[in-house]
Amino acid sequence: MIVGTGPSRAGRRPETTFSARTLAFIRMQPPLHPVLTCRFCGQVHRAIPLAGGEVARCVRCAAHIASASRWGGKHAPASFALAGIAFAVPAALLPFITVEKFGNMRTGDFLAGVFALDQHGMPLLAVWVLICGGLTPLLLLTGLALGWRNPASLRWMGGAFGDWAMPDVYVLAVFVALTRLGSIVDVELNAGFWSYTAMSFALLLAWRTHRLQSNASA
Amino acid sequence: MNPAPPSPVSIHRPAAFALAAAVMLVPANVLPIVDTRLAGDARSDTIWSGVVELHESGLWPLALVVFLASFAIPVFKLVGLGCLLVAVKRRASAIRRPRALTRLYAVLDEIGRWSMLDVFLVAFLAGVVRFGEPAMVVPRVGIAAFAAAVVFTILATRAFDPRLLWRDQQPAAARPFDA
Ligand SMILES: [Zn+2]
Repeated sequence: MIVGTGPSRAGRRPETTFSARTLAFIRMQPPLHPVLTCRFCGQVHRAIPLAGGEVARCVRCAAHIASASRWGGKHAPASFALAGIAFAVPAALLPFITVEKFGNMRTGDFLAGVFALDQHGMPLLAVWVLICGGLTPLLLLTGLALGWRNPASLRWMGGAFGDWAMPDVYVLAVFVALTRLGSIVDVELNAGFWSYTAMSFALLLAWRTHRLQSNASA
Repeated sequence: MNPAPPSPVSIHRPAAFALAAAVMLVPANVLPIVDTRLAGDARSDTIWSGVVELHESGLWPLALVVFLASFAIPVFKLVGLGCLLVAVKRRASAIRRPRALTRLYAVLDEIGRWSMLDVFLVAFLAGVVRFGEPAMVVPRVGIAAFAAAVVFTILATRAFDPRLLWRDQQPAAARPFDA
């Protein structure tokens, strides 16, 4: 549980003078220990490896800054991300639900909702739903599947796009829609929805395991 | 200690986004968000009448979920952001309870996305219920205004730099923290 080590000394300058060559040598040396900066208050910490299940909190503002996964090795984020991409294919192609009313059958899926918004004169909102529910999750999954070698660019991607990936909110919306429709028409859940839900969970797990690892070693 | 020291103007951007969100919430709540036609019975719903209708048809857990996502979270986010901005703006010296405010910021940052629930709900229903005359769900302009308000609240939280809350605080001493 203990992580606080207070202000890091990684940035401290040497007080003695050195020849240019020695300076270059010093600059090339990696810092004595990896550094972790709290994103809430800017406090710099010395990063130490955490044991599974441990949580690291900022010594200054008490924000959660890192924790260690109980399971999942080095390749866990990429594996989850690949699974998520695999689930994204049926999620995009198969129907989410089948509705029956007056002897008529209709299926609905993610893209049908996007097209409906566009048809009713809201192309911007259609694009927005497509981005939050489909494109950003896919982008993050692809990044996590490919980018495990480069934690810095992954962290940038998470900061830039993480807020806009909302597949979990979409899953909740479908459940609400289902219950609401269930009182009016006959509704049946289909494979596309379960694939979408699995994709959403895979993204959550991939992102979580990635964050744990990159924080613990950043 | 801070990699990029926040400047005094850095609260203008989050304040502008929060204001834009508050402005967009007005049409979002006044204008209808969705039209429903079912077997000759047509109705037009605002966010609030949608919640009431769910409650009246006995689906009160759903009504609660939609109420939280569409009312409670946007309002809580705007009030919370207001508190943070006021705290940063009128600080005489160091802010009094930086830990509590940082926690508030972390919560605001986490919950904002769930407000998109109603937008996704309308989009999904409009994609499914397209039986023409007998049954039809049509999105209305209120939902676009609501989506814009949600986007502005998220942009406001992103633009706010929580390190402002810690500007004049001493860095933590080297001590282990356990909680
Ligand atoms: Zn902190």
